[in-house]
Amino acid sequence: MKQPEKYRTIIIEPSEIIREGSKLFLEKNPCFQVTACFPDLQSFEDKIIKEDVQIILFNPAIIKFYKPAGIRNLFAGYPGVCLIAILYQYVDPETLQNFDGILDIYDEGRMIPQKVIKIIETAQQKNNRPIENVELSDREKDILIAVAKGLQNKEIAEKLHISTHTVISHRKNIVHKTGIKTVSGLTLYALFNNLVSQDELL
Amino acid sequence: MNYAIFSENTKMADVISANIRLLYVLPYFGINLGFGEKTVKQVCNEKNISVPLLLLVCNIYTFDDYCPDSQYLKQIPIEGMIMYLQNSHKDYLEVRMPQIIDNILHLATICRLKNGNILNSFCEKYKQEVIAHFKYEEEIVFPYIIQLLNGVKSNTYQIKEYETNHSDIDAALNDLKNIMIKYLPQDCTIEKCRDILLNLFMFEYDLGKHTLLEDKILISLVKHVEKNNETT
Repeated sequence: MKQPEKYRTIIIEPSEIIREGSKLFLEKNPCFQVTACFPDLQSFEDKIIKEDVQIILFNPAIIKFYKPAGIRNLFAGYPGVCLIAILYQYVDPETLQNFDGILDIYDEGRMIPQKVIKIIETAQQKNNRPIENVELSDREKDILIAVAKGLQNKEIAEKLHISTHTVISHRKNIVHKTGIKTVSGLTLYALFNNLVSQDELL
Repeated sequence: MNYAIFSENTKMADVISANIRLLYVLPYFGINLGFGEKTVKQVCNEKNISVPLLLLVCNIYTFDDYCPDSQYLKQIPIEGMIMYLQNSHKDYLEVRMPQIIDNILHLATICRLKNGNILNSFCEKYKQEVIAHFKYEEEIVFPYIIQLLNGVKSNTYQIKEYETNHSDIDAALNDLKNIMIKYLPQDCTIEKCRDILLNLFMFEYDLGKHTLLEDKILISLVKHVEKNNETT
């Protein structure tokens, strides 16, 4: 996942003081932008537009009638979002397991942004492998050449004596490293980098 | 929302000064320069344009985190929005894309790129992709919506289908931009390709916002109509 310039955040919390307070402390750090605040789940769901957000901060107390496992489903429209609980009353541990982290009302205000960043990083490590932006490896170049020549994954696998699965994983890395997603784009890339000549493509 | 956005009392000239990208957008509403001190509302009323629609588009193009609420969206005329989208399609297909492609091919010639004709076929392929994309919208999606608004129900089509099929036409453009920035030969100077790149950036940006309008606004609005039709 590309690191966004700002962590866009939604806060769902019934108490205005806590809502505005969390927003204030978060936005003291330029990494955060609170795009919307809601007092309850209903007003959050009524919103027609699902914006792109990385963090949802919300108070589990507002959904106490839900089954714990259903919590993630409430935010199914936000795949990969980091869920953080705002806590100031007792919430059972089973519910809390569905969150990526917890903000406690007694947390020191100035520490909140760091704490949230830590939670996000831990959550991302679970989902993401590190992306390094380096030159293509020799193997990846072989694959790229084959892709440029118009071969399918299966044909590439046979030609290079590797599994289709490996081919796909190499191709993912190629896209990560070059930032080029389409096959015709990769063909151009291969040409400009002299990995193939035009005659080989015809 | 506590940040400033354009409102109906903003002066039209200030809107342009705040975001020059809107120079591409306003013609799709049939608006020309020479506003004097007129406000958005005055210009719209003169031209018979929906104020909420114009503001919506201008705000979406200008403020990345702009997010209108459902109350606001109820004021958006769907027909007007479709007309806006159609006008932009026309301009993308007939003017902006051909211009970019011509310029790239010209660049390939003056820089004596040895892979010029592959670049040529890349551009041609992209053009076909975009044509097909818009054709689907113009021939299937928009007529469906217009019919729906007239109360004609379709048993075979729903806007959900558009939502799932809406393909991504920025990917190839983004690749082209990356390739030009990273891998053009050194003797192809920045001066030679700067205008093309600027055009590419602008076009990519506009396509992105255009897709956003379709994905987030148009689809939501039509879903709302579908739902209402079902219950009546």
